[in-house]
Amino acid sequence: MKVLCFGSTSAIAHEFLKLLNPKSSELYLVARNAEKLERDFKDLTTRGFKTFSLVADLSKLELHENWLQRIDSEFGTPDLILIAFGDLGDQSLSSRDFTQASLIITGNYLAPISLLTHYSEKMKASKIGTLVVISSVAGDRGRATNYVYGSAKAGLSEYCSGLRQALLPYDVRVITVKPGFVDTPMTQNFKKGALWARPHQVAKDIAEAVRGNRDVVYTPWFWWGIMFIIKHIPEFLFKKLKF
Amino acid sequence: MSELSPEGLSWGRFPRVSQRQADASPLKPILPLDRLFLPRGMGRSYGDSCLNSRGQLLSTSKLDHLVSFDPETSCLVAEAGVRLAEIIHVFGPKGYFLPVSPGTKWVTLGGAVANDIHGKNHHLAGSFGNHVVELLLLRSNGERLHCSRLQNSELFFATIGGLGLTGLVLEVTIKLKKVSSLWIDQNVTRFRSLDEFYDLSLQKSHHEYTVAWIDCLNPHGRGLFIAGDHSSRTSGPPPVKTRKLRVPFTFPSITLNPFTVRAFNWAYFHRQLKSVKASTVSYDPFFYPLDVIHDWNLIYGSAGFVQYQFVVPPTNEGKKALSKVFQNISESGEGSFLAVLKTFGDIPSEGCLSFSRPGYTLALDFKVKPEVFKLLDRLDDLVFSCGGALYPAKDARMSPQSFRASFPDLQKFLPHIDPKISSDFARRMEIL
Repeated sequence: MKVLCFGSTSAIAHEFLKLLNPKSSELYLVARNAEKLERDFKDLTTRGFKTFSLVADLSKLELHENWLQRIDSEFGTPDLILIAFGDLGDQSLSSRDFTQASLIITGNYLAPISLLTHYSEKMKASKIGTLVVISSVAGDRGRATNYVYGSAKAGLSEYCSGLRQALLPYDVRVITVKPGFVDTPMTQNFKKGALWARPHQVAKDIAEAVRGNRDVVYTPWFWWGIMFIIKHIPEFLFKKLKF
Repeated sequence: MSELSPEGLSWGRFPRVSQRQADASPLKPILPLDRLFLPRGMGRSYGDSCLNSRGQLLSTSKLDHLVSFDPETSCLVAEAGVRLAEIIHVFGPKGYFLPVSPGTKWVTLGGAVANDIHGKNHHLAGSFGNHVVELLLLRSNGERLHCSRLQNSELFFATIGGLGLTGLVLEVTIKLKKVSSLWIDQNVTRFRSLDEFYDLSLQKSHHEYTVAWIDCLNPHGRGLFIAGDHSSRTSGPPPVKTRKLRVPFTFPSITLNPFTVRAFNWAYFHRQLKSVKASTVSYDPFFYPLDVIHDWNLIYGSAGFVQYQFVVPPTNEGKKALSKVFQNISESGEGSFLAVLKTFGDIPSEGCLSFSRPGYTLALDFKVKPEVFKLLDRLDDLVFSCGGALYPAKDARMSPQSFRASFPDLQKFLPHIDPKISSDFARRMEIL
């Protein structure tokens, strides 16, 4: 199985890749930070995976075409694609400064969609494949504390929903993953509580979804319940809540 | 930085202290220089050698990547926070195993080095440090030092068994062992006295792994002698997955009392009616019988427990001391239900503070209470009267004098302590 991972140095992505079988999987890693990528590359190679890697800052949309050409020629059409990069950004900054806001929207929305456009066409042609997209529970309802990031993730989740319908006739699966709080480098400055999950746990849920037939995965599972309630709070009440 | 409550304790949950912890980050394992720190892996040391209540802990949990593996030499390079379980998971299916394995796989490479741990094959393989080829050590002044028997060798020997005090180990190079399978052919023999144990130890020393469980409430020292070798069978179902049992909460202190311990020991001894029983088992129950019960340390109740592990030399004085230890324990009625007796071989450990040395080593658990400390003081006298030693990784109560008596090479070690590192154990031993 050929697995292509964008944002492979994310803790969740790395844990997911470790769960695959090195005997039957080839990996292609794409990430922004060369040093981290090198470290992950060594780890996965030592585990026995045949691994390729590419340093790429995917928020630079104008360079996507070159990178995608290179990946296509080195790796062919993957069986599974994991889109795991994201940028939480700084809400207070991005709510005042549009340049910051547009960076967050590019990184969390436009960049994944550029990739999904490219690969959904390829997978349609080969009539097989799985696209796994890591969105966020933050996209389920906008909140004062992270609505720029949240709105980008909301757009991404809805895009995936539509893409899933569109690709069904071609036997191409789209899995939307909505993690809650995960203890990763992205959230290292947060105070951690009981709701926080470890990347390994989230990765196991993703692997389970790939093996099974789930379309949208809340992970850990209890976030489905939490978000069900949050989504159903009437707006006139919701606007007064502070969380 | 986060405040730790239960997680910050050691495995014995005694002494109880509150601690701060930061994570060592992989690319910049920035050493927090505002306070004295202590590298920390899984916190599986029993006493206070993994505590630093007056400084802070520097967790290696994020240093969890493999670096390289050379099948020609079987040498694995991995970051210090990689757990032994992970090494078995990755390399077991390829026909390799840990050269030395302790009684739990939930320890890190760094912890295995820092305590120069031993296992059931000590009589043939020595301790963990004997299989370490190289260490990459980060000192608090920013120096990254490659340490081996040829390069920075004094620091290498200080770091093996060095209780984390010589710097932050970033990477460990270790030579794995090729094995025929992950199945173990084991045979279990009952013995009814220490003399029988000594005989069995000799007779069975050709087996790769040997260990004994012993009923220390029985004054003669009856028990089960377990010997095993990697099986030659290559087919069969893969080793069973660890069942997930978990001790859900701290048990009431009354759970373990002389009656329940006596009943457990009786049942354990009599679980096999034949005097010898042979079987083939997976590596997991053979090496890590307690790993199936997560948080088993909670059964000792809120006061926690102390473990007492010592070694006595293989001389007549040593054997006499061991007999007296059993008499003392059995008279006191302070039974331990996990008493493990093992013969150490004569492969010299290399670390300045390595514990394992030729002789007999016994490990005992006791629930924390005042009478136990009095008993252990009496046992100390017996252990040191014959030139024995105590194991720092298990200790929460030895005296600085006992520590000095246990480690004659202490003076060679002291100059290598990193000035920004401390631990509660080191403070208690007055070596900082």
